[in-house]
This record gives sequence, C-alpha cells and structure tokens, in this order.
Amino acid sequence: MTHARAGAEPAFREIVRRYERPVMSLLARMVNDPALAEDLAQETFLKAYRRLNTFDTERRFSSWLFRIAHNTAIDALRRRGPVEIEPDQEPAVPPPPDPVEAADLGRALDAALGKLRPDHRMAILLRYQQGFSYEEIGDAMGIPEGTAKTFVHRARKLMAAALEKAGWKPE
Amino acid sequence: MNPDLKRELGRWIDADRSGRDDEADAAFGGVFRAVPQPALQPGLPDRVIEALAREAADRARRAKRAAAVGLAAGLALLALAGAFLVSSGPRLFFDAIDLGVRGAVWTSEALERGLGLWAILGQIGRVMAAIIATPQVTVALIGIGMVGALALYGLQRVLSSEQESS
Repeated sequence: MTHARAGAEPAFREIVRRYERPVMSLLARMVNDPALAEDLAQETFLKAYRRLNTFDTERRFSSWLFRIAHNTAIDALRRRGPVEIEPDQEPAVPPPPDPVEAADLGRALDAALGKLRPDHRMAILLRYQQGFSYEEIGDAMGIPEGTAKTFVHRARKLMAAALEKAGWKPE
Repeated sequence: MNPDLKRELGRWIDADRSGRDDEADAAFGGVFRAVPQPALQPGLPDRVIEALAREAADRARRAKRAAAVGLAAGLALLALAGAFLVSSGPRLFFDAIDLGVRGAVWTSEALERGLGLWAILGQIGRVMAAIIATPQVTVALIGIGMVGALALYGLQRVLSSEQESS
C-alpha cells in the first residue's frame, strides 16, 4: 500500500490483481451487465489510484475501495435511468422438478437480487459476498451501521418473498 | 440439490418469516453461496495500468501546453511593454519630471491649506488621467489588456480540460 501511494505502478497492479474479482463480482451484480461492469471496474481502480493519498490507513482498504465501487455503480445506474419491471413479467426463476440443482437456486437468487433497490442490493452483496460486518457495510456505503443492518434485513425479506412467490417453498 | 443447501433455504425463509434475524442471517449466508460467480475477463490489471499511463501522458501534454501558452503570453506582454517604452520613453521621462515638480508644489500648497485625503486622491487621479488619456498610452494599455485577457482565457481552457479529464 505504501509503495502504491508513492505512485509505484507494480504495487498498484498488485492491488488491482488482488481486488479485481470482488470488485467485478460486486459491480456485475449491481449493474447486471458484464460489459458495463468491466468498464466500471476499470473506472473504480482509476479513481482509487487518483485518490490513494486520501486513503486513511487506519481504515480497511477494501471498505474504502468498495465505497468507490459503490458510488461508481450508483452513478452508472443513475445515468442509465430506472429499469421498469412489470410485476407480471418479473424474471422469476421457478424451482425445477426434483432433484433440484444448486445452480437453479443460484439463478433464482440472482434474479431476486436483481429486483432489489440498488442500495439494498449493495448491502446484501457486501454482507454475503464480501463477508462484511454491518459496521464495514456502513463504512463502505456511507451510511450508519443501524441503517446498514436495516437494509440487509429488508433486502433479505424481499428476496425470501420473491423466492416464495416463484415457488421456492421451505421444506 | 445438496441437502444442506435445501435445509439452509428452508431455515432462512422460515427464520426470516418468524423474525429470527440472526438465524436468518446465518442461513442466508449458506444459501447465497449458490449464486453463480460472474465470469472474470482476463487483463484488467493491464488495462488499468495502461489507462493510468495514458492519463499521465495527457497530463504532461496539457502541462506543456499550459506552459507554452503562459510563455507566449508573457513574451507578448514583454514585447508590447518594450515597444511602448521605446516609442514613448523620452516623453514619459519628461512627463515624470514634470509630474514630480508639479506634485511637490501642489502637495506643499495642499498641506499649507490643510486639504483632506479625498481632495489629494482626486488630484492624483486627475493627473494620472491626463497622462493616460493620450492615444499612444490608451492603445498600449488596451493592447496589454487584450493580450492578458487572451492569455487568461487560454490558460483557463487548458486547466479546465485537465480538470474534466481527471
């Protein structure tokens, strides 16, 4: 980190290499467009490089980086405008006949995730994809810890409702 | 489906439905692992480093352009000021002596009569206006002003394009 802050490119390349997968996963799910996510990931790392001297080393680097990624994704979603989904045409993935495969559940979860509000989606991704605590989610999203917890809770309930509606009932 | 995953799915939905938040949190963590990972295109670190190099090159080019504009404006101002001094140097020299003498006489009279600050400033203004209100000085001042304004505009354009790109 010290080398990268001093402007050393190999050190920054190492940072990009280390964080490209989590940043890409987050952005791909946020914007639901792999090509756009690629561009946004590049933009995120460029912004991070330009702002490295503002990074407080007392903070967790990933929280700081994900905050940049979050803001970049939100800006891109604003530019793109709202995507209207008709309630009857929601891309729900129903459960296939037994034996049910994990991939089908994964796709159903992905579809439910895509229908969440961007800030709820981000909170879910940071919590369950990155394993962040509520405090870290708050730090990355620029919201209080309590709000982060509320976002995760609400988002999870909405996803449960979406899955149930699509026919995924608990045993 | 993996029986553990099926059980976790049931546990999550049931826990969320009955408000057992911690249990729902833990169970959902297990279920969420089923979500497919997006494919990762290779070469992102290289593309980021290339973009950084392009940015650095652009910055250097803009800095060079700003320096060139500043230098050209400075040289133009110097040339104009030099031409002005050469063309009106002798007249300015005698004007300055005349102004000095008249100023000294007027100031001593003003002190004797006890004139106020505004009267003194007004008189200085009138004398300066008399010097400036000649075609030569007016043209030279307008020329210097225009070159200065053009230089400021050029610098502002160069700097704003740099801000937009960063």
